[in-house]
Amino acid sequence: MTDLLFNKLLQGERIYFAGITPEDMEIYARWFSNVELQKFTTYDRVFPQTVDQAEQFRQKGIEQGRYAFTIRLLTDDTPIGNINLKDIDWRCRSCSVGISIGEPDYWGSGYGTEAMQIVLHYAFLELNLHRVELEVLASNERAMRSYEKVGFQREAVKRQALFRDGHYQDFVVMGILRREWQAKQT
Amino acid sequence: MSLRQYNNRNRTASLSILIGNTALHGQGYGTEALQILTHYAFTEVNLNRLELTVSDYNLSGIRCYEKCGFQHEGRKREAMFRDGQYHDVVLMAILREDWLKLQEAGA
Repeated sequence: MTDLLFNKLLQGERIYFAGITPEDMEIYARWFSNVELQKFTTYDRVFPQTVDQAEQFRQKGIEQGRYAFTIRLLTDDTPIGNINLKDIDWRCRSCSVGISIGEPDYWGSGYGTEAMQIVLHYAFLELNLHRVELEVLASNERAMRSYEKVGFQREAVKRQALFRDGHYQDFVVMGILRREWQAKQT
Repeated sequence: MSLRQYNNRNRTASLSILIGNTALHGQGYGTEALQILTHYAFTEVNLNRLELTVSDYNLSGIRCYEKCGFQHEGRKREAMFRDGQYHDVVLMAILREDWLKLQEAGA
């Protein structure tokens, strides 16, 4: 296994979370240039990203105090996606989470769900947060089902919040509280 | 009062308003200011969506936003800590189409 692996805290059955390195940026640029992926993951215009822009994304994460990780396979360290806790409000003890599985080969196999379980464990039991939230395109039913599986509840619909594919689309706001998450851990 | 987080492409913005002089609370100044701002947002800035968040205990604020055409979109549960406990944050928004209907009804 790998020296990037910190401890069991950031590890699931098939994947683990590693820090994001400058060497990761080449593969990030490839993920961020996949239009089919971007349509679901970006809240702004779809646009191919260069390695430099991926590096800017990485720097921004550091500046804003995000907890950002590269999701890697336990078997051979292959990077398959990115996950980050952001907008951390230490007083209200809340944050939001963003996730993307960049490698299409790993879509639809539960890797996103597994990553979300690891990140919630970290948010509640290590960062001592009270609430984690996210926003997802209302048309992205597959993602919402995955989030519900780990315990997120649908809390709000932001109507016409994003322009995509020629028309305005809704966002769904989802949230999970620490006690709800804890009740699911047996 | 201000429009913030303006997004050119999505044509969205969020709104914050504060009537600082508490002696003037409850006299409709907030509602009047909000009507001017929504008019400006949809006829001059050319927005499609104007959103805001408000704490669930701010009932007079919520009533004022409803009066100006903002609709309830949901609530972030226990997202705000105040006076020793967590409160919900209410999400409200007005769309261009909501605002236009309101103008027709008022005309």
